[in-house]
Amino acid sequence: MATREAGKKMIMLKSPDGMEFEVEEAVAMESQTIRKMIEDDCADTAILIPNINSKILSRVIEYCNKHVPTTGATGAAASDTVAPAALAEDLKIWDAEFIKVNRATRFNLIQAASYLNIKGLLDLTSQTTIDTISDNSLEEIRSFLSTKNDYLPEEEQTIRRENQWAFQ
Amino acid sequence: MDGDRRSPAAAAAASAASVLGDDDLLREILLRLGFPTCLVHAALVSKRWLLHASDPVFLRRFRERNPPRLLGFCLRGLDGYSFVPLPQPPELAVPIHRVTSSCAAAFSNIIHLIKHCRNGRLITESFHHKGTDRHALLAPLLAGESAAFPPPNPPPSRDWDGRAQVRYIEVFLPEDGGLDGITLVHLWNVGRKIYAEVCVLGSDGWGVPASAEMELPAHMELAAQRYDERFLADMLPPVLGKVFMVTTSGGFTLGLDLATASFFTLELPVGVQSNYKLSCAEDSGLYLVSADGFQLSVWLHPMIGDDDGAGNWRLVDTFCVHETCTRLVDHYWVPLYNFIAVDFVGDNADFAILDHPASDILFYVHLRSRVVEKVYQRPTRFLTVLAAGRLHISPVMMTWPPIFPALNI
Repeated sequence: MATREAGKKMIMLKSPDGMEFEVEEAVAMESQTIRKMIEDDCADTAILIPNINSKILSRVIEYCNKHVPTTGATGAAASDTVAPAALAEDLKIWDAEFIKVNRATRFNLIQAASYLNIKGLLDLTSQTTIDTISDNSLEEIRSFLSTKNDYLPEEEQTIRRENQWAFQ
Repeated sequence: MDGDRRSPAAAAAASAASVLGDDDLLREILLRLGFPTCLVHAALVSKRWLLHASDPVFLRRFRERNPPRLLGFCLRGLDGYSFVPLPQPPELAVPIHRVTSSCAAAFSNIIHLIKHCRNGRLITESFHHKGTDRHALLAPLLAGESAAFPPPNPPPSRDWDGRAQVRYIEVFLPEDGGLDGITLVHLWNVGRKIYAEVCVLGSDGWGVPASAEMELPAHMELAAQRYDERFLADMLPPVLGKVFMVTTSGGFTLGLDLATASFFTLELPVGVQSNYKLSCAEDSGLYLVSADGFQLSVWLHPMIGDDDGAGNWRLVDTFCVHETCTRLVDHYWVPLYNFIAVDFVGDNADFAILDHPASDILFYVHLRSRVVEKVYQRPTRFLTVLAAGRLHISPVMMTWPPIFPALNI
């Protein structure tokens, strides 16, 4: 297994379009899917990540790099000087910048986060996607998804009446 | 990489379709909607979305992840009740607005007491001119629904009138806040004996009352003799199908199991007297949140088996809110006994409402994050807010679950 920077285990991740990414094991293990592969010793050389192209995979790695718990040699300095609350605030700002991507990328990130089982990234991407769901945006969501409103008017009325607390 | 050759809109639609067309991913996304209001909106997108949103397993996960929020509370003042909305995210603005205006209308009639609030509904009591009580069930979240009236209370047995030293009549709503399953509890004591009668409202009227009696344990008897007037200080709304009496003897609470109509005693954690409230824990345990001065403590009891020793209480968290509370209070005269009182605890000890009598301020504390917010400043000193020996605050929770009709899909 490749090693670099004194004692840090490195892992090779491969995207189906042939790109290779060398990442620290701790970073890769932000993904529960990869963690399991490593723990089950199924990851001796390179890990092929199916269905996730290099553009998306590089963003995912960027996210994991930022979110890997800062412990050990490099992390100790950071957590000594920065309060946990400030660190969390910093991460929040970083996340908000990170997720400023077009819709296609965001949906690709959701798929990747789900396949790789990265809870924080799935939360972030899903949250941003559904922030736009409200009573006023139903038509827009339907047209974006090319979904027809398959409710009969009286069926829709029933839902609106039974849950009238959700509507103006 | 054919995605790059398509127009951005087409690429977005294609990747959205593959994500939202995947049932597992769609559920994961719906789970993160955060609020019941958003879930209902999402269910209207299409019947397929409704199918996921109305699945019982999904609804259970949604509730675990997004516990129902407190919309506000009804507070009893000198000139009757008023609703105090809580600052909540914009997704709850519509329901909060509904409750605010429905309550304003409902409270213009004279309401003597709000007996219980559950699942966005409240049951009120008004005195009738003939000296009888009349209960009404209000649903402030549903503008189209007028008040429902349970039939008049069945009378308690004869011991009640003559010899009782302490009397309680409480009415509690069932979990869904509906009319069916309303529970009426009469509780009284004569000397060392404590009696209760429990009656449940069914579709054909009040059921046959189940009665319970218990002789006070010796260590409680002493307190009962000494303070017989105030020995039973408060009856808390049911948790896990049991009501608990706050006693002035300290150290113990007196419980009444509503389903079996039987009394039991439960030892309190060491040091806890009467400044506490209870709430249920997800896995059938019991949370107790107590205050001592400004020190809040959260305890958990598994409520399994017959052993009710104090050793079964586990201290989950304890922290002091003195600094935050006093920072949020502009100025107040520091009395001899400066403390906070626990007024209400949300399910799973998610949050608590605290009262600071010295400044007439109510605080909301999110217990997990320990974040304290000032939510209400009483305009004038309410000298008589104490109703039936206690400060009367009736929390209005967001309703749950949404009601999704079965459709032909």
